[in-house]
Amino acid sequence: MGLNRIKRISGSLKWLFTGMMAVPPLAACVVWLFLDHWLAKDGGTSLSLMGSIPPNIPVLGPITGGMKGLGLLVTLAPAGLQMALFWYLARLFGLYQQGAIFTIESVGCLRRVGAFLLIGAIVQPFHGALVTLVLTMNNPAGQHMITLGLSGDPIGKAMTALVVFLISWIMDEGRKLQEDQALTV
Amino acid sequence: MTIIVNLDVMLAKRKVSSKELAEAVGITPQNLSILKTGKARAIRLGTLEAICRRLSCQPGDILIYEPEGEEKA
Repeated sequence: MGLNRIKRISGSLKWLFTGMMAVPPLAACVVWLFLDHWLAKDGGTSLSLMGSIPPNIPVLGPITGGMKGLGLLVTLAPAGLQMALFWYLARLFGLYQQGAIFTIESVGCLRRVGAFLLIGAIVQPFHGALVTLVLTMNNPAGQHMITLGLSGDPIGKAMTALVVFLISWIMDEGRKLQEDQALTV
Repeated sequence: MTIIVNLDVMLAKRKVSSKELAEAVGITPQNLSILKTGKARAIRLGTLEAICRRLSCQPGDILIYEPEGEEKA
């Protein structure tokens, strides 16, 4: 009964994460293609609240197509990492849906989820720095900016990654125990 | 694995089929196959006792310790 519930919930989560794979690249496109609209609306406050751009960046120059394209390119790297994270989460819950809980494949998926979370946490401050550089690339001379900040968000992601790694080790031990049990006559 | 399972030999000596032994011991033919092929990680004392009872033999007739790397005579 418990396993059936796990299978049912995992099936829903599998589709949820599969669908969520489309969100990061779409969000990146919406942010950068309509950058002038966002900046005219509230000076970029809503974008910084969403975590798309660092806060308080003075965009003084014209917003050109090149700037938008470069910004999109810079943002597609972490978006790709998020897509990979959602892909492995979807695969993990797909395996759980099939009842493959303590298996090498599911443990591997969990490890990759942890790895992508950790890489995302490392990449995030550098992404912020590059976004700042892109946003201020058309500013008057002497007003270009590059900021490298370490906020609570990447630290939280790194901590989550470590917890996921620990859980994957525990799951691997569980897999070994299950294998021993299956091969006990 | 340095423990050799000699169940096939005992089955042949006693003229007992695998299916018959599995039924007598109360395990599935698949589990008996795991034991016969040496893939088993562990064997319950209850299973060993039931096998010995059916085949009228000692545990040492079924399980043999062979140190790794030792040449066979």
